[in-house]
Formats: sequence, C-alpha cells, structure tokens
Amino acid sequence: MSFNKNKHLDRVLESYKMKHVDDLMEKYKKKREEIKDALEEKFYDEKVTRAINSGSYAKHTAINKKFDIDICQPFKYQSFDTLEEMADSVYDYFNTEYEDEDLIKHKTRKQHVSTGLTFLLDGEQIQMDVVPGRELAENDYTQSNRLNLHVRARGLDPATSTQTNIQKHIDLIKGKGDERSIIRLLKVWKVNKNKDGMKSFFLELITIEAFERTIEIPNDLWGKLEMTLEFIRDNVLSIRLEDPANSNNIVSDTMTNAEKEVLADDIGIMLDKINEDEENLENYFLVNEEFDVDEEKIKAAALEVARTSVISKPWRQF
Amino acid sequence: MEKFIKDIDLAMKFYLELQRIDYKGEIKVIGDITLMHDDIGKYDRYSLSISFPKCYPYCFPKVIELSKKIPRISDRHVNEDNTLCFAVDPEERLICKNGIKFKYFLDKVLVPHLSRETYRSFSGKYEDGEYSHGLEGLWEFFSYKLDVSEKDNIVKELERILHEKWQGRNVPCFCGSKIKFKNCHLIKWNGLMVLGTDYLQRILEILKNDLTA
Repeated sequence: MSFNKNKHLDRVLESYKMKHVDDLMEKYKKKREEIKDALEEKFYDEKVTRAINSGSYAKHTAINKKFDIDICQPFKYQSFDTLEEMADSVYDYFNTEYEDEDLIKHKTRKQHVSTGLTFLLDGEQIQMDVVPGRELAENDYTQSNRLNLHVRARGLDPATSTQTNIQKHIDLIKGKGDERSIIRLLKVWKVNKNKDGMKSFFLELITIEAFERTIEIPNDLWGKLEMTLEFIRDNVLSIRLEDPANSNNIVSDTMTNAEKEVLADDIGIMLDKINEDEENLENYFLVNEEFDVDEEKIKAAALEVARTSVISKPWRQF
Repeated sequence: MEKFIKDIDLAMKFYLELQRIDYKGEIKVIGDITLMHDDIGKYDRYSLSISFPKCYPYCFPKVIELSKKIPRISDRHVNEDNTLCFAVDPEERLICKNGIKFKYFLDKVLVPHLSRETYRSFSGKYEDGEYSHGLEGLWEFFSYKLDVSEKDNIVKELERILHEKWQGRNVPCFCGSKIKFKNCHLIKWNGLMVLGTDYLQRILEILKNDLTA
C-alpha cells in the first residue's frame, strides 16, 4: 500500500486533537474558573473585568501534548503604582495567600510576563499561566482591548513593559482554518523534536505570513505544509514579524540569529529527507499513539457508508 | 437556472462545509465533505471542487478531489482530467434517467464513493470489487445486469432485446428458469430498456466491434 502524505498528516492532526483530552480539559476549565474567581475576589477594586481566556487553547491552535492554558487579568489604569507592582502582586497572592490543595505551592513561579501555576489533578500536573495587564488609559480596555504588560528582566535584558491585545491575537487566527492546521503540525514537530527555541507566537505569525505572501496556495495539506516550511527556510533569517497588536513588539527578535539559522537548516534537511523518501515524513510529524485512530473501526465505518451507494462498483472509462 | 440553484442550495443546507460560487459565470460548488459514522463520528475529510456539465441533471456533476488523498491514478478511478469516475456509463445513465437531485448525488454517489476510497486507502483494495477499465468494464456491467457470463451470449441477448419480438409475459422464460417471463428476464430487460433503444443499440455496436476485433 503506497504512503500518502496527506493521509498521514490528517492522521497526525486527528491524534493531537484536544477532544481526546476532554476529561482533563474539564478539570482544567474548572480550575481556570476557580482561579478567575480568586482573582476577582482578591483584586475586586483593581480589575476591569473578569480574567479572559488567552493562549493557544483560546486560538484553537493547541495540541493535546505539552499544552497549557493561559488567562489574562485586565486591571484598571489607576490600579498599582507600577506595572512591576501589578505583576508582583499577582505572583505574591498565588505564592503566599492563595489556598488550594491542588496547587503545588513551590512550583509557583515568576515568568517573563506571567505567573506560572502548577496544579496536581488526579495525579496529573497541569500548568496555568496568569498574565496580568493594565489599561493604557482610563476606561480604555473595554473599547480597545489593549493592555500594558510587565516584562521581567531575563539574562542581560532589563525589565521592561510591552503592550498587547489578546482579543486581536485571537481574531488574527479566526477563520484561518488552513493556517491553524499548519500551526498545529509545526507544534507537533516542535514538541516531538524538542525545538524549544521556536516560540509559538513566532510560528503563528510566520505561518500566516507564508499564506499571505503565496499567490497560489496548494489545495492539499502536504502542499500547504511544504509551502510554509519552504517559506520559513527561505525567510526566517530576514523576515521582520511585528506583533499585530503592537508594532513596537518585534516578534522575530524573540529568536536569535543563531536559533534562526538552526531552524532554517533543520527545515532544509527535513524537506530534503522527505523528498528523498516521502515516508520520512512520519519521523518528523509523529502520530500521537495514545490517541491514534483505530484503523479497523474506520475501515468498518467507511465500508458501511460505501455500501449505501446506488452504484454497484466503481469504474474508469479509459 | 433558478431551479438549478435552488437544487444546489437545498443540498448546501445539509453539507455546511460546501459553498456555491459563481466562477467566471459558471456555477460551482467548492469546500469540504466530512465523512461521518454514527458510532465513531468523523472519520475522514475531503476537499472538493464540483462543476455541472451541460448534461446535468441527466448526468453526474464533475468532481475533482483537491486534498489529494486519492492518488491521481487510474487504479483509483481518477480520470485523465482529474475528475473522479463514479460509475460505468450505462449505470450513470440509469441513475440519472429522470434527472438527479444534487443532494441525492451527494448522499448516494459522492459520499459513498469517498468512503469507498477511504476504505481503499486503509486496506489497499476495494472490498466489493470494481469494474475493469475501459470496455472490459462495460462487458462486466452487462454481464452483471443480464446475469450472463459469456461475451457471445451478452451480445445475443442484447440483440434479442433490441431486435426480436419479446415473448408473452406469462410464458415460461426462455432461459429455462421455469418461472414466468414477467418474473424473470422481463424485469432485467425492462431495466435496460430504460437506457433507450438508441443508446442500447450504440452500446451493442461497440461490444460487437470489440468482440470481432
């Protein structure tokens, strides 16, 4: 039986769907709402609205392996003296005051723009990032969805602030089903091959750019993936990717030139290998075996539906 | 035209991932069909472009599978112009004899066809067989319809249908089945006569030429 790249990629996407982890997601969502409740109670006077969902789950680009759910808490313009105070207040609250027997206290951590929380639910550790943001002006958030975030110092980089717009990030990928499939496939590659240097937001933006800059988008999934991979390989070193919510935030700068060179090389080798032997695709885009399709069930279902045909047997004229 | 669009739009209500478009003055339907089964839910998905030849609704729409899950080779019933080949010509004619509705085509022809291809991609074969390519497929179709295996006998029987006076309905059938003609070959013959005498005569000539070639 010949190998079909499109079929394989379909199978990969199917095996990484979030629906396979519905039970875990339910626990996750319940916990997320508890955290939102806690933030609402603790920061009742400072908050603009209840925390909102953000991150890949909200954008429908999540895969069911190594994912976390982010929430963003919008604060009023007048709240807190500084953005740093805002970020630390949230961290301090969860680190010292917040009581939850599921929370692994010592794992509460200060992250780049968020507070990272780890919960133990039915023996499984789940991660949640809480991103605090403050309005840019009084009563501005409900109109513009814009927020200022505190960016913590990292390595030699000093602390700073950045503007973001979660809703704009969600809207950016809305209605882009093809791009979402490719982003999810790139995440599968990233997770399985430990390509941690590649930032998810970077992947999203460069994939969208690849689709926008290509005149004739292939119709098939492999064609679209190949097109995107070639675009990344050929442009990653020179492309400038701006955060659509903040033109001062250059997302392409979140990877160093060395990291970009490695990425271009990795993709080049991958494409060569797949061209040499298309079955090599399986080594780069692995099926999540935990949720792989049951071939026998599909065959039985397909045959049952096939037999509803009014046509006795297929034929080809020439 | 209005009736034609209404027919397409009615089907669109059931196939929400398909949409009707006007492409350079030509009506087309593009989009996806997700294959579903009551027990396992979604099990495959195909991207398609569907156009309507002049003979529609008295012939099938032309379908190109864009997601390239079906290899574009003759063994997978893909014609040289990349359209899917659904049925042997006389069978298509029989199904469309009174004009076909687009939803019926989707439900009873296209979806089962795609499902058959999904099965084929997993198992490497068509479980219920397939007609041979070209003329050989035509012979097989008439062999199946008339329940006659020899090519000579197929030609003889088609000659008999077209050019001889049919026997009485209540007389025992000529084939020796010991049942009345009306309950035996008359049903098969009437089934084929739906194709029209001109069409059957053309087919008969083609088969006779092939036999003597």
